[in-house]
Amino acid sequence: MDTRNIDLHSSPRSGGTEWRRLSRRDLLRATGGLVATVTLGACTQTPAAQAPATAAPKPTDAPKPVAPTTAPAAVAAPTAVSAAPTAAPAAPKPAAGPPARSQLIVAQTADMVTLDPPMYRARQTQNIHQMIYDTLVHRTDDLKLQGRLAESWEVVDDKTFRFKMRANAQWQDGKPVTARDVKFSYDRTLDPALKAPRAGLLDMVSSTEAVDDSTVVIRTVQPDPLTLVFLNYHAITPMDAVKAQGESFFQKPIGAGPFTFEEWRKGERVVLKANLSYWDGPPGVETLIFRPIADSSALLAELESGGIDIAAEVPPSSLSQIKGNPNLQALTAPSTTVHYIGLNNRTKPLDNVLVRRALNQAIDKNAIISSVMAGLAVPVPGPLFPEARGYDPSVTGYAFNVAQAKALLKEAGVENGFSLTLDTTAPNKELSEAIAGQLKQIGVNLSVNVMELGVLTTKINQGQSDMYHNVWGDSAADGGVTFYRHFSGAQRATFKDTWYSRPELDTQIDQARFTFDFEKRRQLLVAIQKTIVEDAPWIFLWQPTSLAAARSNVKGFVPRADGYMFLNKVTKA
Amino acid sequence: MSAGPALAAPMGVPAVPVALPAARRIPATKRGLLRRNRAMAAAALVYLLFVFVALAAPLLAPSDPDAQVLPERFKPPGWLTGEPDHPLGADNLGRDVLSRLIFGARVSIAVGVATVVASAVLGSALGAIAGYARGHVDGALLLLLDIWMAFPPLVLAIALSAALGPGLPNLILALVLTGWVSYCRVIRGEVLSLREREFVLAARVIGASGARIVARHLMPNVMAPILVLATLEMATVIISEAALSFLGLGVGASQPTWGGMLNDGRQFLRQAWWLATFPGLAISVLVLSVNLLGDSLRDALDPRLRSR
Repeated sequence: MDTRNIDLHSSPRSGGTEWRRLSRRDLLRATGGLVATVTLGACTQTPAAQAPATAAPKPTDAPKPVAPTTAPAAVAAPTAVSAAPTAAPAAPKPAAGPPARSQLIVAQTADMVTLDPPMYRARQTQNIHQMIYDTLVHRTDDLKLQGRLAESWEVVDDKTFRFKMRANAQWQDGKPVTARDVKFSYDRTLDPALKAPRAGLLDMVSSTEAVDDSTVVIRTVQPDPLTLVFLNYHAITPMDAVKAQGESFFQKPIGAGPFTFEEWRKGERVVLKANLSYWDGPPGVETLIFRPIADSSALLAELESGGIDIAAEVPPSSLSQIKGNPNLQALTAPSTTVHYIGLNNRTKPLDNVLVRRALNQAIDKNAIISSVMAGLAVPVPGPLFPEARGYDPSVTGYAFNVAQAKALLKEAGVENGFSLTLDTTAPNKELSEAIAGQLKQIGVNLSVNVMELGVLTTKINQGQSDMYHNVWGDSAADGGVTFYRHFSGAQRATFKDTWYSRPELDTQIDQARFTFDFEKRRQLLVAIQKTIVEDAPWIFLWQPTSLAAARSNVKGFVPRADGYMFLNKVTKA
Repeated sequence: MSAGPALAAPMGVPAVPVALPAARRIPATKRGLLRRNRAMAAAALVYLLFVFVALAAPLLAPSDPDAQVLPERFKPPGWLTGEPDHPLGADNLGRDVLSRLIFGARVSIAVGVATVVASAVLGSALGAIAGYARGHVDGALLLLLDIWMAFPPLVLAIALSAALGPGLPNLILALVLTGWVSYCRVIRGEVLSLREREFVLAARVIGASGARIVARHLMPNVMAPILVLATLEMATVIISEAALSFLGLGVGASQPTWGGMLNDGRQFLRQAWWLATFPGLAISVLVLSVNLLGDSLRDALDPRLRSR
């Protein structure tokens, strides 16, 4: 598929044969005996006649029949004559907006899940949402907190934040964004009846209050500095419109973000248009398109042919291929994720800490990183990546040493090794196989079982996986989050995981989580990390370096450690 | 039982009154067999070669198919590098492609043979019973067949192996459960027509039981179509196994299979073409040889099956 095809597909007429058949049939009804002369060519010349005919079966396509239809023709034959009529209605304020007909196509590995902000937890969806909706606060590309809809904020006390709203922020229908919209959005997320997957990120919030139109106060149950960070995931939606339209609002929503929602073809594309009145200035391109492409070879082929401009997630094995292509740029950033292998602390012989330490010592992480991962990872000694709060560089973890690993197995009474199943997912299959291959050297035979991520997650949550290769992401980069989620006995009611539990550690974890002072918090977290590394409930692996790729004419795209993309400042040369 | 011929007439016995049962065991046209002889021999040879490779895998493979040497990732085939250690190259984990290919043959051959034998036995037994018993038994079976055949076979196999979980026995079971229907249909038809023949009547006249007639008189006469069908079906089964392994639903990721190798190699097609090319070639050659063998057998043993 090449660029010209893409342009054609972005037009509302791309329904292909089905669309043509439908509209032609309707045309037939409308115009009676005239059909005999209707040809494909005639169809393209009568957009006005088709528009009402299409409106009935496909309402979302109806409002924009004329202009986009001629746009691809203008691209295919770039003459000044054909471009003129298209440009005229599309750019009424040419000085303010992005270049006419500029478009950026971004490929992600998964499609959008929903248009309703609290109803998902998936990075790919968040990347799209944060272009449509705005948030109260925001993290810059180096993960520093910054106001977005909030102009400023103050910490009133350990449990109270007060935000001052930006005066020039408005909804895409022209109404101003007020503190009541913020309160409404958070309250809706926290409403137990909605059962929002995002509610968990706000579980520390005890109350929200709109003091006046431009002031919001948020109180937390316990002192929790991370609530401020988590607010950057929570989109603000317009209270009046959502209340008036109910669920149907989210079929064609409006937000306060840099782009307006245009169209979502499930599994195919999400189309957004520039919001020229965005408070932070209009975005760099007129049209922003997100496409889900899960297959990595298809992704690279599209990138090389120019079918897409940015590939958000590219497998490490394609690094050399991207670097060797002058039309492409490879962009890397440390990620806020770690790979690990969960060891079920109830499964024999993994219930023995000596065996768990032996497994940690038997894996040559550097060999796997340099070969399979093309060097795009950093080995971690524990459950935290180096940028996370609570990471202690003096903890070196387990060095690769097969002889010591064998000695530990002998001490544990399993010198002849054992056989278990290692659950993994398709994206990690290669790495899991490499790990299984290395553990063979100490007599541990693992059969690699590739599962669907959802199925694996359920199995892990129920504590039924003996060994599982998984990826943990902590974009708040705070050890408290990781420790509470994975190593606190308090979590075992919902997340059985490895069944690892140590009562005195639970107290320490809670103490650290509710410490507002960042330095004190860090010290507490360091102490916890030491214990966890010693107990080795995981095989600690590595922090992958995320690799993105873009066409070389894309400017201003910065891959971020948290894996999110803010594309409103990106331009195309 | 003298009413035999009268009973047969309304059933519409084929208008080949002199066709003796024995004639069907001899090649229908000897010239056809001779003409096909060479192709058949070549196909049989290739197939037997694959069977031999599968049986002798541990002796033939140059190294352990699971032995990883990470620094040798994507090492090209021996004739390109001049180094003989990996004749067909090394894969993404530095494992020897030739050794994996040889061990992969085991799965393809084992699944092919086991599935075909099991589904032939199951399908022909049910088909023979239905065809001989007729009436309600036949009606019920026909209904079951129609329901069964409403599912596309590969989709059914995918659903079954996903439900049963990975592993060789489960894979074979899934393929048997999708494969038995074709035998059942063919054998039922054959038995329906054979059961009205004089030799069956004769057996009935001297007091042979139904089971004995099916086992001693009918089954030997349907061996030719079963054999032809089984050979042709084996090609389908091998392809299905490869497809399921390709989708990650076969014997599981820890055992080398051609379909699995093809899928793993697919994502590295640009860096290392040998990962996907050789398993793909192996599948093609094996399936081609089995198909040729089946075609020749059909022409030689049962030309009537050509129309089915």
